[in-house]
Amino acid sequence: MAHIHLEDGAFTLQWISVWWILAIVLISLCLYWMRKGKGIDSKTITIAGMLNAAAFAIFQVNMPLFGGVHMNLTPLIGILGGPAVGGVIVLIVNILSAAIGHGGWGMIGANVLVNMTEVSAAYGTYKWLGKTKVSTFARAGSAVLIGLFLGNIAMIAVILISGVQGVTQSRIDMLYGLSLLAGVNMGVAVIEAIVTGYIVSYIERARPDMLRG
Amino acid sequence: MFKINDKRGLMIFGVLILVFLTLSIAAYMTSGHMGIEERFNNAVGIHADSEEEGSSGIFGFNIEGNLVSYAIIVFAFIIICAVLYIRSKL
Repeated sequence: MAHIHLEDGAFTLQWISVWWILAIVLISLCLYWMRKGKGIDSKTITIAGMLNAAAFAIFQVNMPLFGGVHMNLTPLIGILGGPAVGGVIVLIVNILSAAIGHGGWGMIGANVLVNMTEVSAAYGTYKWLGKTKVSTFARAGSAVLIGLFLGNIAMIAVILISGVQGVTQSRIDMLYGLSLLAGVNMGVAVIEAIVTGYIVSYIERARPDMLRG
Repeated sequence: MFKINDKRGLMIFGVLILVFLTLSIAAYMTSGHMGIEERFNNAVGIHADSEEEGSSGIFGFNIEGNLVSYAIIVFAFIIICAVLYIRSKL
């Protein structure tokens, strides 16, 4: 899980705008891709709705592990929905999360970029591992770990590039602190990898038509 | 039984799990026990006066943000998904 848990005001208005604009451009590309590609059929909408519901519900649940962490199911969104649908789902989840007080409104743009990294990386890894004919469980689980690892790197990059207002800490100290945080995050990524591995394996047995390949 | 590729895939996955779990425990031991917001503030150097003590929840699991809004949104999602599922005949 990588989610920037900073309140509004931590980033300057300039950086909040930059991340928002980038996120809007990417979401526009996702929508364009969805319309130009296979199109949006009722099956895709239903799967997207279910992924949205599951991701939102899980995203808000703080687990009693390492002092408090949460899963976000972004790799599962990538594996089942693909990056285009996934981009729209993470935008909705982040907006609804901010609406109930989990994360700042200004952070939505940056968080969408971080979550889209996870969605795309997990999707790409899952697809790539498909060529090696390894089991679905290992394929999905490895895709989750790689996706969440890259998501944490994206999160660190966004914070280091933006800087945080009102702190005296140097970028090096911040990198050290954020690396420890990312390390802790990867603990819950292990749980998420095993859970997602089982979910995708089950879907493959019960409803193989729901998997994109 | 497992095929060779399955075994190799599971082994790679197992190694990844071990590596990330070790890193995670090492990071936790170094940074100490703290909540998610506190861990973030500490990482970037924000000195919050005192973190609000949230409810202990059920078996330590609790909801971030407003619980009532969360319940309303999840309920709305369940209704929407049920309608979509019936209409799409998935």
